[in-house]
Amino acid sequence: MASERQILANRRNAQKSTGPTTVLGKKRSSKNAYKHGLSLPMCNVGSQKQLEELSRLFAGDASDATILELAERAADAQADLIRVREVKTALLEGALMKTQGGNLAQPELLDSSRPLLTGETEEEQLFVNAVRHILPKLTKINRYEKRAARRRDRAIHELASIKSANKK
Amino acid sequence: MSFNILRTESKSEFAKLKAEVESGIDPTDVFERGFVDDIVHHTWGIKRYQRVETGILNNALRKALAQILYEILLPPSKAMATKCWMSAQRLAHGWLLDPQSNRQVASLLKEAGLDESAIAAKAHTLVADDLANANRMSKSAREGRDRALRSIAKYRKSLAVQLRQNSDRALVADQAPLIAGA
Repeated sequence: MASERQILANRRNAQKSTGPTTVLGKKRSSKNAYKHGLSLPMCNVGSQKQLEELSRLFAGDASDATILELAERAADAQADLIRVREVKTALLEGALMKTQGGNLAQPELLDSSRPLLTGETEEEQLFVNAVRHILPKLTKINRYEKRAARRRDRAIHELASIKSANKK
Repeated sequence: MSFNILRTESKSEFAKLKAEVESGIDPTDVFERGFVDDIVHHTWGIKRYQRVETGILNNALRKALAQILYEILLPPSKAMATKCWMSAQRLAHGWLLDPQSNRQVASLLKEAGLDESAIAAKAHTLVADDLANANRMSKSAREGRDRALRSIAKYRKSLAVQLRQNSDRALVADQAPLIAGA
């Protein structure tokens, strides 16, 4: 247990720790808790436009407010799903780049008829090692993918049953 | 939907898989096409993580063999540990490449009452965590594929109900003048 003197010294030292002071430091530390951003909604203009297009596609020619809302919900979930998959791919590509220094030949260029390999070449060993290191991260991200898929499917099934009920 | 193929993966293999799934299901609208994309995505994921699982185990085999051989070669006095370690490494390295090393490994394993299954078992213990993670990913991809298959079946069922109702209405409409005329 810390002595009275140590406790006082700790308090004095803590007063000196006031966090980042420069603009750059503050900017960097503002992203300390940032992991992958998958729990946040999409907010840029380009993605908003894509979302509207997808929503129109899902709604078809319907003008019913419930159908439009469900289509929007399905489109939103679909966009989340795509985003999670892109993050996963970026993680995998990043790991590959790190392990192989970005120098890996593409299988297409070697032999287009070649099937997936199973650990027989040095290239394959590098691939496996790269993926191996990010597997824990990938397993954590999986839950976002599952959640988005469930949300989208629920909206689609509701949409289908309402469309069917409206035609009765 | 754009698919997330890695640059180390074969695009032609992926195109083949996509064509097979599409021709098997024959999607008719935007929702079915979405479910088909999911099935392709997850099937590719199953292949990817099975490949990783196999690779993890294969990469660990040589290390596992080296450890087994070291335990066999090291005398009870633990003398010449470095030399034994070097020999174990050399034999493990040549095991799959050099027939003579392969024979020597087989005879050493036999003397110790072991066979090649001991190498796989040791490899499993060395990379158990990684294998579990790869297995989790492949299981999750399998679940995703099954969910997409169930979703398309459910969607088609409700579509079938809708189509039958349309067809019934058309039949009733056809019969109406006949009844009126009768």
